Amino acid sequence: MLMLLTLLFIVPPVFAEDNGKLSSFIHEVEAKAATVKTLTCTLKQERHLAIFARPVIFRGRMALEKPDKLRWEFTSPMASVLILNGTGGLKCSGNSEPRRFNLATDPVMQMVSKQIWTWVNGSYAILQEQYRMVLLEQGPCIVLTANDPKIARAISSVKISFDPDSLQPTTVKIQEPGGDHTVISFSDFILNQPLDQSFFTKCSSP
Amino acid sequence: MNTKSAWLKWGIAFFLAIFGLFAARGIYLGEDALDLLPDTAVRGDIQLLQRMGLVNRVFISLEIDPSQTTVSRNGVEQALKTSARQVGSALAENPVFREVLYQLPSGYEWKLLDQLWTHLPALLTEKDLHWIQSQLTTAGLNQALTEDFALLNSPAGLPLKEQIRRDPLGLSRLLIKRLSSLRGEFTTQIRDGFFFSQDGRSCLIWAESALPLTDSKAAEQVQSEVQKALKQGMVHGVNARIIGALPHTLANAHAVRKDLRKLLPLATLTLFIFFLLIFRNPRALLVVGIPFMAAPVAIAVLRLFYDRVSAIALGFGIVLLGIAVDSAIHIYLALSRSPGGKDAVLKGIKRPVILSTATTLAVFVVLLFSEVPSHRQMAALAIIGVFLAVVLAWILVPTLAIRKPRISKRQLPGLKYSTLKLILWGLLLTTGALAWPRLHYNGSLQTLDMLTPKIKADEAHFRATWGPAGDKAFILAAGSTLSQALDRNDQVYEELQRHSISGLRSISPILPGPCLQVQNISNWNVFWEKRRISAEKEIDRIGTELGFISRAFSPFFEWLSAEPVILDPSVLLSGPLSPLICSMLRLPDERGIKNQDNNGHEILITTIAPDTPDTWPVLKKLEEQIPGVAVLSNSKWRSNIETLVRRDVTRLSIAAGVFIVCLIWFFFRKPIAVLAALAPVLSALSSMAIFNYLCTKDINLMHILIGIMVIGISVDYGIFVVCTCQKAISKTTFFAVSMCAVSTLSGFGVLTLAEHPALHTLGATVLVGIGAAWPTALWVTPVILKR
Repeated sequence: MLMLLTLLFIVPPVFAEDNGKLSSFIHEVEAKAATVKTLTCTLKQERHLAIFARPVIFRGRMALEKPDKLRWEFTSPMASVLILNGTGGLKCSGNSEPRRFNLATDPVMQMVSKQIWTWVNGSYAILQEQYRMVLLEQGPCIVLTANDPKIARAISSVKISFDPDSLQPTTVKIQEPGGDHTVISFSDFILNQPLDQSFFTKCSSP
Repeated sequence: MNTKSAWLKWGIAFFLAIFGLFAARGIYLGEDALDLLPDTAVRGDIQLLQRMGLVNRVFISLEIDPSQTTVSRNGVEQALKTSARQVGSALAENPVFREVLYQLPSGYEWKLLDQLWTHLPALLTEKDLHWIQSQLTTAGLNQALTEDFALLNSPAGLPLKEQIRRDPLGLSRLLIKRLSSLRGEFTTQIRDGFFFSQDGRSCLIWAESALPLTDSKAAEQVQSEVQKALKQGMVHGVNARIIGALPHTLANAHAVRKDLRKLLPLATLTLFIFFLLIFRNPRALLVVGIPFMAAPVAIAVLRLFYDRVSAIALGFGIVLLGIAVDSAIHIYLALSRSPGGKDAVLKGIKRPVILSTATTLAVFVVLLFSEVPSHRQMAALAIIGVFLAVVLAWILVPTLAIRKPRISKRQLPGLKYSTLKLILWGLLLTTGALAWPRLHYNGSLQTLDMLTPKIKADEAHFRATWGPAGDKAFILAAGSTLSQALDRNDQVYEELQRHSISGLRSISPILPGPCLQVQNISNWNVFWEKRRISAEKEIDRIGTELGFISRAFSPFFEWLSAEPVILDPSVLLSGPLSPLICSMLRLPDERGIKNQDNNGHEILITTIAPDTPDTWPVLKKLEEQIPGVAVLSNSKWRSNIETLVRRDVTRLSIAAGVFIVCLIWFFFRKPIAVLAALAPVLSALSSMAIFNYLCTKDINLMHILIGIMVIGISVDYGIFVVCTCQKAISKTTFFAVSMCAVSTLSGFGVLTLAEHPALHTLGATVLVGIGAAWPTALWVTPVILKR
């Protein structure tokens, strides 16, 4: 709460009257995102959940090939891979057998994939329909608050910080009601390089 | 002929015709293809399918125009979703449709999982408990909780946090698996509740018509409403393919109309020119028209017996009145060309006219006992019509005939004995006899179906896009109460599962009957009674080792401690999957559906299974094993209809044959004369058998109907020739027979040019049958008599 108050008073937020800046920023981010066909990066995720005895830090990497291929891989402390590829996908964790899923028949993964693609595609204009957005000049970063009460029950706010030059998201902080939160940091971006297709078909790294 | 008396006769005839027209007005004509089916089991099956809404279902596959290759995947999806929403909602608002499914409600998956979670113990079977048992080992729990930990830390973790807490073992996966049972072999994927094809370029809508789609008038109305909705709702670049009974009914109706529009004037013109050229007297045209004056009266009488008359029966019945034209021609020619006094000529021709009418009526009396309702109506119409037509011809034709005797008394052609003719005839009969047993009766109405290239292409595309390929069997479990129907449906599903039949569509996995639910709950309680405490301890231990807090999964154990609840069908019937469930479950008189059978008060539940030679033995046994279960399948339907119609045809043909032979025997009293009279019939049957053997090796419903008509006509040729040869009553008979044959051949022969298979068959059968009966009557019948 203190942090929010600080943000409100110290950092001048861009509200409705300054929607032009937000629109122009979103337009810029989307234009950059549109030029990205493939992407790999390393990632670090900190999960602060009440059901975890202590914060859990996962490290790994992400590979993306538009329009519908994604690999989200953690290498430590536990190996796990989630692959979305068209209408299907693959899930592996630890040494267990890979589990294939079909988005048409698995409503859980269907919902997860929908959420992931909304964020990953950089379609902030679409996100604007679901979230109230505020542009904070510092960062730059945008803060999203859910309009839909259903989403608000799961997510209080999402704060996305961008690299000022490349406009790639560098940090995403997801705040949940009840205090749980997650911070994901992205770095070492490699853009528009051909990717080995086994990234999206096998759990083992190529 | 006294002119006053002639005018009086014509006046009475016209009065009768006009009175008939008046009385017949407003007759309800049914254009239902089902009228061509036998009454018994098969028709009952179709009515069951109708009650389930399966016959009247219209599938609309919306697809992106293949030329639109530049549109992005997202653009394609949006265009299809918008089109499906707009078209679907327009259809749903239209009273012509009673059930329209185009989108499942938003968030239906979660709502459903929430709804069913409470009732999970009532749904899970022993097989599922075995799977849970395998998860409860240390290794199994370790794997499940590790996966949960990984999942919580994956991008999926955010929305799944509470779900994982209440279901650490992933039991909801068992529910999801069960939901796929509603999908069967359909290869759909659901995006935002819309039904998409695997390639994402097609979207499916299905609607149940409140009007019968086998009826062409109703089909026209439904088609117009569908087209209106498509025109209003489809966005640019989206096309639609319509699949189901609708396009078939329309294609048939259009083809028949097109053929008749083209061919009827042609046939009429041919006959008109023919009669004018031969008789050179416009009065002769009236002779041909007299029998048809009987039609309105016959229809009016028919109306007294039937509330609803099949249009097919009416059409054919009127065509059958053409048989009476032959009598009119014989009377006219005898009166106008034979030597001797009018009374003597009439007296001489009376016998063959009565005999030929009697044999024709005999054939139709037999047809009154057919299993097929349209056959019975047709026979009734023909009996009344032919009788009246002959009476009218007998009364009116003499008023038209102008006596100009042209044939001398000694002229009796064709009475020379000729072994060659007999040998040729014998060859024809032998070949026909050899071909007959090799013919296969094809009871499928598809042989008479107008399958246009578009329908063929649309259906092939639909199968390729949506599956499933191959025939389907519908297993209907009926019950006087919903519980009874559900229990029987469970037995069906269990039996099919026991035989490892895959690709089933059934509501049993998500809505078992009360018996199975009680059993499942009992098994569940016994299962967890022994394992709950140890499982809780073990999950807590492994969880804390992985990094979870103690009692992280307390929601799961609270749920486990609660008393399991039976799933009431109303939960699902009012839930998000209601349209899907309702498409497989029919409550009595739902939404005003008329009961078309005696069991309309029963509740019906459908299971859809692949209908293959491998599955059929299992499906067939279900009817015997489980009470209240009926199995309907295309293969069964085909084989049943084939058996029924073959039995009907055999029974009726034997009866008609015996009847005709007896009548002819009664009149002629000599075996040679009987054989001579029947010679044209035998030739007609043989040539039809040979022709069908050479063409398709098949005979179908239409062959039978037209065959009966050909028998009726050709026996008349034989009777007239035999009477002439025996008593030399009329010297114009040979000419009259030729006139009758040529007029029949030219009238019906034109139909061989028809596009519609049924009309084409009609034309070809008459052409071949009469084409053989005519020369036989002229050249073989006299030779047999001479012998």
